[in-house]
Amino acid sequence: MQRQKCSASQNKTQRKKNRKTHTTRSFRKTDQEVHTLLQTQGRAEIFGTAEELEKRNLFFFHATEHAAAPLEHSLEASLAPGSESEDDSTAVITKNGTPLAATFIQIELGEPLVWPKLFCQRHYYDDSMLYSPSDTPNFQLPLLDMQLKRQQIRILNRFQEEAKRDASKLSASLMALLTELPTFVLDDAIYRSECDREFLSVFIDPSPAGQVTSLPTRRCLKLFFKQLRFTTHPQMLDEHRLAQQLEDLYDLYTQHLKNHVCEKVQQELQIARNVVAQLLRPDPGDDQIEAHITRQLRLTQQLRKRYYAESTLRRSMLQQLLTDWARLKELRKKQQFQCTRFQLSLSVLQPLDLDEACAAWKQQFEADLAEVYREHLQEYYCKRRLWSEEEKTSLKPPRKPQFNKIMIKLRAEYERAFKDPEEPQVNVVQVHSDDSAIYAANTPGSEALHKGRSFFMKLYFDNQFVAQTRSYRLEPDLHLYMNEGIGVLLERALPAQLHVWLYEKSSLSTHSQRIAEIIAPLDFGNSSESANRTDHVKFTFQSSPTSIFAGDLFLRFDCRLCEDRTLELDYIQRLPEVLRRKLLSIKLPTPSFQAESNITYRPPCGKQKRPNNERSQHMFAEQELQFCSIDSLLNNKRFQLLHSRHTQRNLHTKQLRLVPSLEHEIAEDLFLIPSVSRVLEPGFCWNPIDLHKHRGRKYIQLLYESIRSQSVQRAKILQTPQPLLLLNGEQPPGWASLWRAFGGWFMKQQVSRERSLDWRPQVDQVQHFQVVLHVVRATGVPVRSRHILNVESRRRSSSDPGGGGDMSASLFVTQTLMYSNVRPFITLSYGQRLCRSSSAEGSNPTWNEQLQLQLSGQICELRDDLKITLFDEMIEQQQPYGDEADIYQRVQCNWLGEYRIPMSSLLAIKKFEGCIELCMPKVLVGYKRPLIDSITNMAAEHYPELKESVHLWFYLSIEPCNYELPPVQTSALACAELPELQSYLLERQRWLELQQMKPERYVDPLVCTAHGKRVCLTRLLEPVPLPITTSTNVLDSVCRFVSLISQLRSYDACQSFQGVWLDNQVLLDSTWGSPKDLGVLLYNFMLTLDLPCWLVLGLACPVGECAFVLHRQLDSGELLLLAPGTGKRYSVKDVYCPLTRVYCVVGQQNIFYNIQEETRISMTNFDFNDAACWLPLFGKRKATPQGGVQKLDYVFKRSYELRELQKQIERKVMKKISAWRATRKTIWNRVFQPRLLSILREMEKLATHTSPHYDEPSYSEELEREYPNYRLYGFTLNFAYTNLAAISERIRSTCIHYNNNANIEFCVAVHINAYANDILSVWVFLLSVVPLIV
Amino acid sequence: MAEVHIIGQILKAVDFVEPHLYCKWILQSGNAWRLVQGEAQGQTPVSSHRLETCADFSQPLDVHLSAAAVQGWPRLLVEVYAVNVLEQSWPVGYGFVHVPTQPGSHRLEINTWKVAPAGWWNCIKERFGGGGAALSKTDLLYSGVDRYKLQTRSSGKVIVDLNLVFRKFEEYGVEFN
Repeated sequence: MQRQKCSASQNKTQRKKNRKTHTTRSFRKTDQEVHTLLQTQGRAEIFGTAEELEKRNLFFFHATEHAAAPLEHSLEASLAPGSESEDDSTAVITKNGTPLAATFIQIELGEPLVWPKLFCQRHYYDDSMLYSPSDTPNFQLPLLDMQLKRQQIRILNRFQEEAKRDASKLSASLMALLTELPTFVLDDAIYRSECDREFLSVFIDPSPAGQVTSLPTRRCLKLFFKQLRFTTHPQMLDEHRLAQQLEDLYDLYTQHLKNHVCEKVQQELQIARNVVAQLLRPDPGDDQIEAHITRQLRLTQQLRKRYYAESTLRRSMLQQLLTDWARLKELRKKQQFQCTRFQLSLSVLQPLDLDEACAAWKQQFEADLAEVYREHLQEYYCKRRLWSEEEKTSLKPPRKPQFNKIMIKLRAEYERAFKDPEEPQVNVVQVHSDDSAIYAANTPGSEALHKGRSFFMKLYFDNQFVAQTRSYRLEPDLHLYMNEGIGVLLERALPAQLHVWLYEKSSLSTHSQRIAEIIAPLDFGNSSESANRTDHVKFTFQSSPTSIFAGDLFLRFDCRLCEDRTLELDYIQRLPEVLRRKLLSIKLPTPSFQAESNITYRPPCGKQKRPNNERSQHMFAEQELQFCSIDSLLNNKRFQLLHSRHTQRNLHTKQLRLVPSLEHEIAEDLFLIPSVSRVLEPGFCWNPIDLHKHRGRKYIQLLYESIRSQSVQRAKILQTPQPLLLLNGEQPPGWASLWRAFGGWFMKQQVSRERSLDWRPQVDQVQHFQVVLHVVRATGVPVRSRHILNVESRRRSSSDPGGGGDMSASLFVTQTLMYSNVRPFITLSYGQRLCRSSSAEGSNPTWNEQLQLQLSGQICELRDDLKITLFDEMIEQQQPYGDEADIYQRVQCNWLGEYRIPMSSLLAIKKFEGCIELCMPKVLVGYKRPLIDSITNMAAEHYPELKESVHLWFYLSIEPCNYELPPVQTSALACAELPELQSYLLERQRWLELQQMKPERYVDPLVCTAHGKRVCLTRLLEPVPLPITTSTNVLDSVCRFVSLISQLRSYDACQSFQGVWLDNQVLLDSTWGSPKDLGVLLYNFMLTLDLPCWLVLGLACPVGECAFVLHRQLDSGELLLLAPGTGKRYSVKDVYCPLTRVYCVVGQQNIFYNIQEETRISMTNFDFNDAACWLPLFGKRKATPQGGVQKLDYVFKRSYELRELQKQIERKVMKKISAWRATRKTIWNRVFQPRLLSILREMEKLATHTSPHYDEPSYSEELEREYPNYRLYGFTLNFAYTNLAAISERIRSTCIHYNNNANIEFCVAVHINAYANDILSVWVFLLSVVPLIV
Repeated sequence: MAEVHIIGQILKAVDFVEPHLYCKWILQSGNAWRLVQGEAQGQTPVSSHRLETCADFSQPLDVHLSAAAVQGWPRLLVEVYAVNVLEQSWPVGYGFVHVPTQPGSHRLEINTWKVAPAGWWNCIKERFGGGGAALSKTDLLYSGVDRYKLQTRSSGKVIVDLNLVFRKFEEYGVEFN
């Protein structure tokens, strides 16, 4: 019944009295049996095994209604008996029945299990409890001659009281000390440094943790002394004795009344009777019921007897009380005085309704009588049966009970026990008579009694003095009315016994006389009860030696736990079993339960989710107080935007000017923009070839960039001055080395300063340039063909028929006519800017003009080509109305040829001068080359310069020229060669300088490869696989192939000799390279072909620093220079060779530096054995490093499908021309296209295999012959394919679309020749057709 | 997102004995606060005044914070240092102030203290040669844990002008009046 105790214990003390036994023992026993049975059943049902318990826990947590229901029922079952017997104490548990969790919470909150809190009472600070000695002396001082100070009096008082506590006197010496000497006193008695009290330790026996109920803790014990009564005293009178008896009797009687003993017994009797009546009703036949009935009947009988006994007792007590009171009154009257206070007031109540009372009495009597009679009968029958069984031998047969006798007997009992219905009811109340009645009377022994008869008591707990009561005077009625409370604070140890010593205070001496000892056991009851309040208890005592005195002490204990908060921890209350199981299992889930929850447990209903315990458990208070989580703050778009702008890391948010203040205004896609800009535009399908070219160029640029930055970094590291104290490594530091170090430091600093001055940050700036072209003259400009002339002459003849005959009369006329019919002029253009010269006459015009072009832009951005273009200005006379008066002239410019100079090389070299060969179209319809025999009569062999080409003498320069690209400091990069070779090369460099070689001719033999390492130049020269093997003339094909590799146009230092040398793999994969790389590649191809050749490093006209290949023809032994960029071959003696300077010649075995004074190529001696002209780098004692750079097993890839590209180009050209001819109609003629295509197909072969002899292809004339009624003008364009934009740019530069003739038609044909690795040669035929006869 | 804009300046330091002063400052806030933009700490130039005992810093403050809780409200910690002719510097004032919880412009005075010299020798050294004790940890500035061990002298004041703009606090039920 722990639960009951726990939940009800707080009320227990109050209820204990009320809940006295009101049932018989057997009834209680059965009741308890039922309790225990039900409880154990209930528990077994709930907590059968541990597993079941866990399951129930699980259910409890993930609960649904139906899962919780059985538990609830069982719980209720377990709780039900409790609630039955203890009506409201456990009601809290079952009060909120339906949700189980709610009940559980209710228990915790509503009725705390730890009740010291509930009993916390307030203590108020009380001044009266404080001790302070009074200022006036409270005892007679023996010496009154001197005036004492207040302090002295107080301290005397204090010591006196202290002494009084010990029941001793203040010692005279101490008193003398305190009173006489006003000086300091050093006395152990007065000043005690330490506490003299000895503390006794409390030993606690070890016990299991579960059984530890509590430690003995601090308790507050209150003793209330009510009164003391002497039962034996010398001055005891009869009255006293009588009064005391009366008093006791009255106490008994009131006790009896108060406990309602009679009423309770009567109730039980009634219940028993009812039970009997119930049992008797069904048909008796069952043995068990019969036995039960007999048992019940016996119970009824006993109860009735007891009821009679109790009632008789009460009645007799009342009668005794009344008679005694009468005697006392008589005595008082007789002795004429009164010395006791006892007094009774009687109230007599007549019955209100006599008849009713009589009827009730009669009914009760009859019922009892019937019952008694039945009992007697039953007894009789039993006896009779026994007797009959004994075969009637020994005894007489039992007599039948006589009703009358029984009735009389019962009546007698009734008269004793119950009052007669006519008898009035008497209520007795004790009244204390006032003191005047007592003291007024002069009792005989009162004088003696009053004098000095005062008593006090001392309290001892286990023989330890605790307290002392005040002294009280003995009253005349031999009572000590004390009403004093003494509070004792008990620390830990609980005393077992209480001794009270009664002292009589004598008036004569200070010593008191001990009279009696009262021993009272101290029962603190169950420690779990916080307060133990007892009723007044009477302790009888007797003075031992003389037994003069005897008496009773009325005491009351009040023991409670001290309400000290700090002591709560000591007070451990064991939880009731049921609650403990529930609560503990909830708070501490067993590990197996957790494991089970890991095995995907699904709550049967989704309503209640499992609370996230971990999260709720571990939560900082700080977190709890946030109004939004930090994550939500960090995920806030506005915050992200602002923060990324603040950190300046994202390119897109870096420059953000405006951040919307509201979150929803922020665009979603702001974060979606990738940081790297896209390579390709979306939605545009790229040709794979275009993609290849694009990626190749990007790759090369990236490669250059990375090598440049790497070398810059390395150079920076090398530039940093050496630490001063490096010198202590090899030699001991001396003054000299220190000075050297200082000197080196300063020198280094100076050097670095100079370098920093060298570096001009102008590369990135926008600059203005002026390109100046001085055109001198040109030779071999194509002349208009006879066909065009015919047209003109026909018109002229038609207009002027007489003037046509003498035109071909003389040679001179013919010559002038033939070779002056062209009016060429030169334009200089860059991008959209253009500048033209005046037009000159004839095939060998002389302009002598200066053309200027203003450019502006960053150096790195000037990527286009500078174009020097040759046009023919054709003026047509038009007479639209056939009227002589109005003559219109239409000026048309026909493109004849051009020369492209990469802006980068112009920027690098800054000026070109001399003679260049204009790049002429292979087929130029409407024009024809001037025939040598038509100029002179001499043979063509004597005029080598009059070949098929047009030559232009010019001077080109760019201003200003103060810019300079930072050189690529590849010398800082790591070198792959051996250190000996490096030192050797350095040595040779110095030697070369000594040989007075021109410094600009020196090319560092250590060059940087695409891998970022420096190797010797000769290592680059290796035979590599060829792209074309199935050709009649492999050399020509290879030259053509190399010339079609695209050249980078950007002004980049990496393209120079100091820069990066690509190997064949990088070059062929990317299809982009610098001119020197092309030369190396061509040389390597020729090595594969096993041709004797050298690589010539020098300056060439359009491209600057480049590499040519010197080739000795096998049959004739003639030296040829192969230009890798164009694929053309020049004789060494050729003055028109674009190579202008030779720095050195690199062979596979050696490098020869040119030390000749002669700079012209045609005059250069190419005999490398001549030590006066060429200096070899490697001698006999030093082997040339070879190989290791090129990829020897390079496999060429096939080109992509071309048909689509061809169509695309064609479409692009048509579209562009239509677009350029903005306002005019563009008619596309498809008739010529097949013919043009057939021409183009043969062109590639023509371009590849150049014959040494000059012969003009006859396609132009064939076309003219085929279509006599059209005036044709057209040309072929040939270039390596890079992208469509380059094609359109080229076509635009020809200005073929500028034709104002209304009848003009255009025709375009595109043919692509593909080599390996997407190296394409694009041929475009553009033809403008004007029908002559409309 | 609740935001706080703190715009203002550290105006000057007054009533310091030392003539040449500079001030290090940190704007500190709790875990639930994030700096959106601006500098949360810095140092003013060395400043002095020829006539008055004050040093005008006019150090601009422009901080944008965002908050997820009221806890950890930002506070401005200042450390005033003195500089002598030998370009030696030592702390002469520590102090802090919480940013007011009221929008608008405020002029705040931060009373500062410095660590008292330990012993007469240090006292004399400080009197004549400058120098002084510094806090080993700056968190002593605001935390009350170990401060009772310090013996301090009060020194001058740092005057700060702040303009505060609060934004979107009312979404979370925080109102400023």
